[in-house]
Amino acid sequence: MWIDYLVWTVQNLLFPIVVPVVLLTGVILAVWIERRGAAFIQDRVGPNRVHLFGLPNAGLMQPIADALKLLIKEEFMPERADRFLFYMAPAVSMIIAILTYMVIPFGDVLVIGKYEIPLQVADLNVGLLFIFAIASLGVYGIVLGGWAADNKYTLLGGLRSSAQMISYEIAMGLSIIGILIVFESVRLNEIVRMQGELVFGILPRWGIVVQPLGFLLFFVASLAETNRIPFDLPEAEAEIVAGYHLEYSSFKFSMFFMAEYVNMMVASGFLVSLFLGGWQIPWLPTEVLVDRVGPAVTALLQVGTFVAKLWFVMWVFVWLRWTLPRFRYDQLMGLGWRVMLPLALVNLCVTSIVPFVLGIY
Amino acid sequence: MIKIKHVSPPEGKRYPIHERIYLFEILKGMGLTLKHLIRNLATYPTKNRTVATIQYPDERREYSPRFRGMHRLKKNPDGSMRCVACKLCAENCPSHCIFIEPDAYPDPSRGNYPKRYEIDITRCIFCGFCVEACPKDAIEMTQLSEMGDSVRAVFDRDFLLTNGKEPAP
Repeated sequence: MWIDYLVWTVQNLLFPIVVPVVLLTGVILAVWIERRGAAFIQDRVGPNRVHLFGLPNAGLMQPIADALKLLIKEEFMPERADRFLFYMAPAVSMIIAILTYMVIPFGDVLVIGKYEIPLQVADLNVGLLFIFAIASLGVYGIVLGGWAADNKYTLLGGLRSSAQMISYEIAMGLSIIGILIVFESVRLNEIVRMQGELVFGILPRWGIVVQPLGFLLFFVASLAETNRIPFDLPEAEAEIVAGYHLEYSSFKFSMFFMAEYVNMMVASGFLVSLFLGGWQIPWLPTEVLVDRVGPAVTALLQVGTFVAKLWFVMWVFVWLRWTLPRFRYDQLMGLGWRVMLPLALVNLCVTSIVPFVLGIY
Repeated sequence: MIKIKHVSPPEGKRYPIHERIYLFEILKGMGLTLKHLIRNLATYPTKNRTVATIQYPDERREYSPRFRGMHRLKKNPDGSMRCVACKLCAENCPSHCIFIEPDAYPDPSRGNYPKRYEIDITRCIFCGFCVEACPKDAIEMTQLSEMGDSVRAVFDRDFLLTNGKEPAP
């Protein structure tokens, strides 16, 4: 029947196209929030000149103008660069950044009649592991870009990035295990659905409520993984010029630039899914909503909730960037290995023991 | 006055524990940045903005009344030039940017006037010595500071007579 084909099309063609497009559009908004947020934090005005068709939009078109400018810039290639890897590195960064987002659910399974449409691109049963596996590849884009350019600063940026990624991935992984113990699943949609329940009958059972330390560790680690201030040592402009993307220009640079923001959005979406209840509207489980307003409106509300939470976390990223200075390299390593790792282990032990003490098992 | 806040811990002591784990200090810092953000956002649509930026082509900084901008040659009430082409300004000019070619009026009782009076504005250092030197109070400096142009590096007499916002007296 034609409606079967329609559902199939939505699930297998529409979502995989729409979600990356939405992500790349989100980059525009993210850059705008970053620049104007930074400006207002620093008592400045920020970009407010670029309008489209004369419509006043507070400079919302500035990122588009920037992107257009970047596209018509000269493509620069260092003389002794490894040409193949030099071209590959930004593509790797970008592809991996977008690929990671594919398993993050932005709504509950939409049930219309006999059709079930999961509101996520790929409902993998290893969703969480998939994110870790793919996100770890993201460092390749940075390291290869840094190495291929044949420049000492880019190489330093790449090396810093790899060291930082490895150090913080351990803490990140260990902080997630607490969540796995609590929710007993690695399927992201399952984890989000479990967060609709209540603890003590009042608080929503969000990851941040049941795993506050895990949330903190994961948040700090995801700042480090996305190379955001205070962990932006790979590109530390004051020390190593621009780090790994120093020799890049034009479209290749804009790929790195967009990949950074897509990575931020992935990290935000992941954080929201694991710790902030994903698409769950507090105290309003899906069944109640479907009863009251029907499945379509429910899906819309849930997607809206997810997007709102995601952008809140993005804003916290921006907010932190313009509040904190950059870590020194030894401080970065010290925090990763001497603070985050032991805390993650403590969190893991406590999370393992508490259910037995409380007699849940 | 700039206030200096000492942030090092007292002699021989470490920071208290709540400062050493950073988290509360970071939250305090975030509170400060949020305060700035909200204050700036709230006052942005109103008259008394707290953002420090002056949106230059739209808004302008008010200069001091003694600001030395572009030169202007003054006129007498009857519309004739005050300048008598005595060349004292050119003589006083430390950067030799004033060139004057005097000429006599047909009527001998009226004396001289400058046939050419040119200021090479690319050499002028806006010291104001020409204004100080003028015995006839014929040259003054206006508030005009935007002299960027692609054609007129040397200002001639007629331009100097008419520039400035207010018409020459």
